[in-house]
This record gives sequence, C-alpha cells and structure tokens, in this order.
Amino acid sequence: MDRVLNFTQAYSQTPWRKQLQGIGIFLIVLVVVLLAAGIFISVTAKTAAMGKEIQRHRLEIEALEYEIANMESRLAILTSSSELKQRAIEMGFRTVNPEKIIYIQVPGYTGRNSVLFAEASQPTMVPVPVISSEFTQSWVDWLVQQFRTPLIPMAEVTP
Amino acid sequence: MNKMPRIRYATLGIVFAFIGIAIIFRLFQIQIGAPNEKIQVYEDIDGKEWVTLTPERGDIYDRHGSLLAGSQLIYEVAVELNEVINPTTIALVASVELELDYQYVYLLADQDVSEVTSTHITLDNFVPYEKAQKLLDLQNQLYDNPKEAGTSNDGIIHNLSGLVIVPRLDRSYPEGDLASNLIGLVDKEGNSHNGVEEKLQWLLSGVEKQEVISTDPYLALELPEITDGASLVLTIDREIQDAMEELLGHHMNVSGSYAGSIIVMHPRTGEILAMTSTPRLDLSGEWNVEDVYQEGHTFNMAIDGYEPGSVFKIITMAAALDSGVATPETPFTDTGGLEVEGWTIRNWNGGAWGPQTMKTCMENSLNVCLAYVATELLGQNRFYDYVKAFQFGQPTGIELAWEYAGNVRYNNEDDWHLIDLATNSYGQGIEVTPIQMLRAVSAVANDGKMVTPHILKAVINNGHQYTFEPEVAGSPISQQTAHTLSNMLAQIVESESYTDMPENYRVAGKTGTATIYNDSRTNTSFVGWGPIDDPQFMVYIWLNKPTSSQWASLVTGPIFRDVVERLVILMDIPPDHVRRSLAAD
Repeated sequence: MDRVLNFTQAYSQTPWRKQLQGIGIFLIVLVVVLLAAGIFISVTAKTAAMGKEIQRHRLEIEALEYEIANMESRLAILTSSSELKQRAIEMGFRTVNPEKIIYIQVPGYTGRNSVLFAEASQPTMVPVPVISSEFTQSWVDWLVQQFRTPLIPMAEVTP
Repeated sequence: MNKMPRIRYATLGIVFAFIGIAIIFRLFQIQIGAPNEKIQVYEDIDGKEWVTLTPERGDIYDRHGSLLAGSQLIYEVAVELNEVINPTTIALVASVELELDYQYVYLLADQDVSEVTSTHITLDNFVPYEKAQKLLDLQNQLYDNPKEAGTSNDGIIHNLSGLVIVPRLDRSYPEGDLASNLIGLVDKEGNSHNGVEEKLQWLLSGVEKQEVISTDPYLALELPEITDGASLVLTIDREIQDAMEELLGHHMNVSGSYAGSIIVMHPRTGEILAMTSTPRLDLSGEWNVEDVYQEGHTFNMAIDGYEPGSVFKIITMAAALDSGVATPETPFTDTGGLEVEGWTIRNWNGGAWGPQTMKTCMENSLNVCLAYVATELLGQNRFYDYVKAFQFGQPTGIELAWEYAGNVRYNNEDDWHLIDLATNSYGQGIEVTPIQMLRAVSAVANDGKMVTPHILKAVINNGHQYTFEPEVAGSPISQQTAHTLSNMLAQIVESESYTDMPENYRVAGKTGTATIYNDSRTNTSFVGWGPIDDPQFMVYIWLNKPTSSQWASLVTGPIFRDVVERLVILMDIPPDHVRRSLAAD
C-alpha cells in the first residue's frame, strides 16, 4: 500500500503545476482563436478593399464607355459624307465621267463587302471567371479548399 | 507562495480573458452573425440606394460601317444643397457658362435644406461636352487652389462645392440630315419617333432597370448587369444615299415639286440601298418638326400611300401576259374612249390612237387600252387575284415605323363597282406605297420572284453579328412572263426621248402620271431597273405636284437617267458589253 502511495506521489503533479497547465492550454486555445480571428479580419479587410476597387473600376469603365461612344460620334462627324465631299472638292477631286472609266478584272476581288463588326456565328456562353476566387470566397471556403487541395500538384503526378 | 498575488493574477487573467472573448464574440457577431438593428439602419441609409440603370442605346451603321446614329456625351448640371458652401460662386459660374439668370440660380442654391423636398436641383439637363469640361476644369481649379480663388462679396471664399456635373449619353446623328427620313429620331426626352429608331426601339434601347444598389464593398460583385441595346447595320449605302439626296434636291428645284422620294433597291435581295424623301430634318442640330414639315408632308414618302398612275399598268400587263389572255403583239384599236358603267375612260391626252398592240399600248401609256385589258380580257376575278398575288393592300414589313398598308377596294367588297376595275388598271382609284410598288415590280425584274424589301442587314448583340438573309415574298408571275414584260419595258425606255441613258446600259422602266383628287396638279412616278440581263438596281421615283410639267416623262424620266448614271459608277457596274466579256473570261 505504501508502495502504491509513493508511486502516486512520485508521478502526481503539484496543484500549481496543474493550474499552470490549465492556463497554458487556455492561452494556446486563445492564441489559436485570435490567430484565426486575425486571419479572418485580414481576409475580410482585403475583400472589402478589393470590393471598393471593383466599384471604382466599374465607375471608370462606365466613364470610359461614355468617352468611347462620344469619340466615335466625333470621329463620325469628322468623316461624315458632307465633310469628306467638301474636303475632296478642296483637294481638287471631281465626279468621274462614266465614259472614262476603265474596268479591269482583278482575280479574287469580289467587290466591297459589307461590314462585319463581330463574330458572325451563333453565340456560345463560356463562363470565364474575371476575379480570382481569393477575393470572392469566404474564410471557411478557403479553409475547406486548403484541406482539399492535394499537396503535390496534379501535373507532377500525371504523366 | 503567497495567496494574494495568485488571486490577483487569476482575477487579472479572467478579466483579460473575458475582454478577449467579448471582443472575438463581437467581431463574429458583426461579421457573420445576425444583423444588428443599429447596423441595419446605417446600411439602409448609407449602404443602399435606388438607381435607374439606363443601358447604352445601340448604334446604327450603314452597310459599310459608317456611323449614322450613335451616342454623345451630354451633362446634367445640378446643385446638391447639402454640399453647397458658397451659393454666390455657383450662381456666378452658372450665369456666365450656362447663360442662366444669376438671381434665379442664387436663390435655388441658397435654399435651406430643411425647407425643400429634394436636395438635388437640376439647373440644365443638356449641357454639351465642351461647356461641361470648362465647368469641371473650373471646379478642379478652385478645389486645388482655394487660396487663389478670392472671396465673394459676403466674404466667403469662392467654392463650387455643391455644383454637380453628371455625364450621360444622348443620341447623336453625325451625318446631319442624311437618311434622316429612314433613321427616324430620338428626342431629348429619350422617346423615339419614326423610321428605324421607332420601329426597332425594342432592339436598340436595351432594358432599363430600377434596382436597389448596395454600396457595400462585400457585395461589389452582386451589382445587377444591364443589357445594352443592340447595334444595327442597315442595308443603306451612304454614298448612294448621299447621291440620291443630292439628285432629288436638284430635281425638286428644277421641277418645282412640293415633295419627292427616291428609293434604290437591289432586285435580287430586296436590300434597300438608298431611300430618300423630302423634306428632311437635320438631326445634328436643333430642330422643330413643325418648321420643317408643312401641310401634306410626311416623314417618309417611300412608305406613304398615293395613287401611282401608269406605273401600275405594269401589274395589269403582267397579269394579262401571265394568264395568257394577251401577248405583246395582241392587237387593240384605240377609239379614244371606253364606256364603263356610264363613265368614259380616256387617254392621257384625250386622243384616239387607232390600231395598237399591247407593246405600243404600254409604250404610249394608253388608259383606254389597259382598261380594256382589265375589263374585257382579264375580268374582275382574275385581275384582283393578281393584285392580291402582288400583295397590294398588305404592308411589306420593312423595318420602318408607320408603314402604310395601302388601300385596295376588292371586287368582293360592298362599295366596289366595275368602274374601279377600269381605273385600277391604270393606277387610279387604288392607293399603294412606293415600297409596295417596288416589291411588286421586283417580280418582273427578278425572273418572276418577288422579294421582300428590307432595310435591316444585321444585328450586333452580345458580341455576335446576326445577318438577315433575303426573303422571297412570292412568285405572282412566271419567269417567261417576267422576261417578256422586261423586254417590253426596256423597249419603252429605248424609245423615249427623255432616256438619254448612259451608253451601253440596257434598262427597263415605266413612267406614271396620276391626277390628284380635288387638285389640278399631279403625282409623277417612275419605276425602272437594270441592267436587264443581270439586274443590280431597282429605282422608284415619286415627285409630288411638280410645277414645271405635269407629265412624268418630263419630270421623273430625266431623274431616272441621272440616277442610273450615278448608280453605275457607285455600284461599279461596267457597261453591258464589258460586263459580258469579263464574265466570259
């Protein structure tokens, strides 16, 4: 019996050690939580900053679109039919006499074609991510992604 | 170990731990917890706003990409009462730059915020780009160098805070009055009127949205997307349009006509290459519809109705040849009059032309002969069956607002009489539009196939261009009939003195003179096309109430000659013999 008591006494901890352990564990948990909170705040702050940036870019895009439309109109005025005619007259051009026209065949030339402003095919919707997922995912999404991402990039293990 | 310090340490630890936990709890509550009422209130006030999202209106181009209707920057200049520091500066600048009354602006800018329903007061809604840039420069100058700005009489430093300059897009028409009768217009209030602008408003305008927009940066990606209006490519060729407008203007002056219209169409595809009508609005500047359009004027005569006169004889003759009741050589003796229900049909000169054939009846444009063909050879049922097959009385569906359907009184209607058949045969008592006439006569030019006239070539939407294919509207006559009639009409042009056509181009055509009800003046018309063996253009001309002569052969005939002369150059059409030799190579 004495041997058992001695053994217990030899391996038991003093009360102040137990308290220190408790405080230590609590502090570790606290540090982890604070770390997580810090990361969370950092990510959300970045998200907010990027959100503001996006809003600013949207305004810039709108202003540029307005400017482009305005410039196109101004260019069209400068190259309008009446302007070009006036300039042609000033430069000494005159209306051609049909009898003086010589027609020659140019192989491959099919005449003046109609304008093609955009791709002349059926539309296909291909979703293209514009903004990196880092700025759209939540903190929880990011953690899940980290766990799911293989440590070795797939390219290195795939022949 | 002393107990007191331990208790103090423990207490301090608990306090710090509690504060830390409280902070973390609050952070989580703010970030991802249920929204706090107070926070929600701030969000409602500062984080969201009702916004009208106006899409950019689509552009309109000609077939080669020249901009006919686009957008230009225009500005709203307003006062935001909450932000006004010095109303004197605002009033001063507005009176000098915007030519507004100083006292009026000062009183507006100096109002007490608590006494107004809206703090946003518009001073001018249509400030042009140059003026707005001047205002913006001045605003920046005062902002950057407030010390140099000086003070107003009341001792306050000059400041343009509270003067807001908001850009937006307004419609612009770089070509001025070119093609304005077919483009239509968008007024300052944003309403579209006439032409393509009104007809295809649903395509051009996009979809306007009213949305609650959050300024919360976390929701930056949740901003609603709006669909801008589609842009349109028209079949119009700017150079041909300009040439036709110039020719029409010249001949309007020469003939002293009240109004006029010229249409140029490709007979194989139905593409309208030019469509002009007088009068026209200059859309690039300030305009007033009432000043330009007088009584009897329409925005676009090409889609307006009238009695066409003898150009309609083409339809009567096509019906006679196609049904086999006549050939070009079928004889007819013209006695100068034909009795129908007590009325006497007479020729244009009131004379008797003696022995004729169908060919000379068309050459001499004899009303009596064509009335005989309709009443005696064709008969009412067959005549109106052809009128229906040529789709008179039905709009062509061209992409222009307010197209008139015409007015045909068919023989199954109560108010129809036999005299209608006789007069309809030479284009009186029937109301058609120039564009309907072109559609119908395209069957003669195009091997019996009637094409649908159209002005819309392609739509550009979401980065894709959708091009429209030509449509056949019907085949009212056979290929053989079309060729026979084409040759008859080519011989008419060759025999007429007015048709001093460009050498080596064989074209077909027919004049038309129609009396106007209750008016001593006439409507003069011409429909023609060429080259006969490979038609590249069809032309319709209508001059309203010419004063130089009442006859189409003297008024619209010379216009056709000039039109052909310009078209063969602009469309790179070689003379017939050159074209054939090039094709043979």
